[in-house]
Amino acid sequence: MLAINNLHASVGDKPIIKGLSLDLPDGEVHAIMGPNGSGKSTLSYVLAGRAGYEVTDGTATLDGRDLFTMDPHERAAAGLFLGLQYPVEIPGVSNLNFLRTALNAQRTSRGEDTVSAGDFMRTAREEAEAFDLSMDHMKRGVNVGFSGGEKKRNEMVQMALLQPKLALLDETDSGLDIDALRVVANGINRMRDPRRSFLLITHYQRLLDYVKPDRIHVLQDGRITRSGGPELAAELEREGYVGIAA
Amino acid sequence: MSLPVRLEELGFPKRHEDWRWSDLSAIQAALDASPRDAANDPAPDASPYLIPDHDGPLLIFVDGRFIDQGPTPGHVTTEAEAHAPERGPLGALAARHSAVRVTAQPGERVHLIHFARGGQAHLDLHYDCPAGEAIRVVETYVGGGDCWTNVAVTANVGMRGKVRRAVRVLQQGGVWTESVTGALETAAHYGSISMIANAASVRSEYALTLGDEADAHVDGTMVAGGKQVFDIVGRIRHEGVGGTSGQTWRTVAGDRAQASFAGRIEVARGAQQTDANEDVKALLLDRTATVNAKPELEIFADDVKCAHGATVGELDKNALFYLASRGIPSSEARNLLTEAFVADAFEAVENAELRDVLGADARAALGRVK
Repeated sequence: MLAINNLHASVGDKPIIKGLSLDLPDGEVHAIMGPNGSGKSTLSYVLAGRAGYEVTDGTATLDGRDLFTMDPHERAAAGLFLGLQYPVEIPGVSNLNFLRTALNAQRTSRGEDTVSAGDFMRTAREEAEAFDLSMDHMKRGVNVGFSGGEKKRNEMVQMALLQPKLALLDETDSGLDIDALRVVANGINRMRDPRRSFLLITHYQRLLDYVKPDRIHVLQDGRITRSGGPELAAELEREGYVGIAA
Repeated sequence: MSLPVRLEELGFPKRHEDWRWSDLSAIQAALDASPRDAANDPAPDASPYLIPDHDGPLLIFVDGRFIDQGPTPGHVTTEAEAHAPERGPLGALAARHSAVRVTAQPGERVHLIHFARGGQAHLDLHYDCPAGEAIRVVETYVGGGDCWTNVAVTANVGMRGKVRRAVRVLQQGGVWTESVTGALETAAHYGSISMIANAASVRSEYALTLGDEADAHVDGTMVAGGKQVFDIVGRIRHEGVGGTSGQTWRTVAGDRAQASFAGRIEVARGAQQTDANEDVKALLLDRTATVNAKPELEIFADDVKCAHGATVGELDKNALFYLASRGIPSSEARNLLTEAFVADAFEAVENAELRDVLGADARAALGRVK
């Protein structure tokens, strides 16, 4: 699904990712854990193609397709979804209009038929409900007046509607109370599929109590310093990142 | 009285602060355009400009002449004489040269469509609203070419009366000017929403005087591209106690366009508990476009709230990336964000059909300036 090889990336002139390699097979859930400033968010932005995040070396492919030759919207249409740590507020564009525009743009770019208004509304209603958001939230401006937790759940609604092949979830668990964390985790578990992969970027073990990852990678100073099975999370919790690095 | 033939005759101030951002030089081309013999002209087609479900009188004008009172006649009167008081050069010109004086009657929803086909046209509109009544008018200005459409509006609103006005400036090229003078008695309301696009040059002046507990809202959107020059010069004067007013303007400017807003709030001595607000935001699509925003406050009472905010900026890069990361191509993302920005000014429009029409006007205008 996702293959990253010897990735180097900078923000401005500052190298942040320094030779990162990662292989995420179809259907697997991997977690990237790391201390503040280790490059977790940078990695997600580089993969999604945000301006200002420059790839200086290395490759990343999604199903064999070179991500770095694609514009951000083309990466989305190719099946990449980035759940943002800080979702953006967009006054004046309703959540529903935003989602439908996004879904149809992706479908058009893949040569598929656009989705009818009725079908879209039905699915949107179901997914909003599944993630505990009201239709009022769906009619409001994107994320406008949403609490921190509601914004994260709105990211999950988007993921559920867009049905990506690969979901990069950047600290989706931060700012969630325990009930909301369960709702989000259930959503991810429900979407697990042999043809879909997840990369969970997280600070804490908390989310991994609910979503069992196949592999855990420790990111430190722009490199993966250690990889292991789910048991690595517990070890990290005990020893801290400093202990692991040794 | 013979029509003016030279720009210099019009008496526009030269070095006057209220005129510094206006450029009405294109009026000369309209003055040069010879008076047309319209006898054989086909009747203009108003159908593209109609508001769905509008059931009031439809008034059609061509080059300042009243030609038709549409299928639903109302009690609108048109007299072959103008009465606008002297008040600044534009209003005075309209009073002197307009062919008709239009008086809207209370209780009706009037739609006036003006077709400019070349040359100068002066309109003298009177919205005198008795106590407790309401007048609702939509004015749509279309046509184009070497034309100058000059509109004077007098709005006298009696106690608890309401005048609501929507102005669509869709004239392709040429100059469009208006001067609005309004007097609001106790608890009277004047609300206008303008959608300004397409014309080469626009100047809109308004001067409203508010009595006790009167409320005035003058809102609008300007969409300017190419070398268009738009200028709004507003003055809202609070003379009574407890008056409220708002001026909300959204501007999108691209290419080499210039769009300006100067809004003055005056609070007279004794006009306590005045609550006045100015909210002016502009979006620059290109670095070569110019936006001027100038709030002015003159306050002679001590228990008042007067707020003003003005911002000029570009599209939010975070929002653009967010939309792109969901698969929306950048041109479409820019459209979505720009439309959302502009739609903000139409929020206060209660009539859903009218709001939709204004939104469609804005989208069409944005499509042209991108």
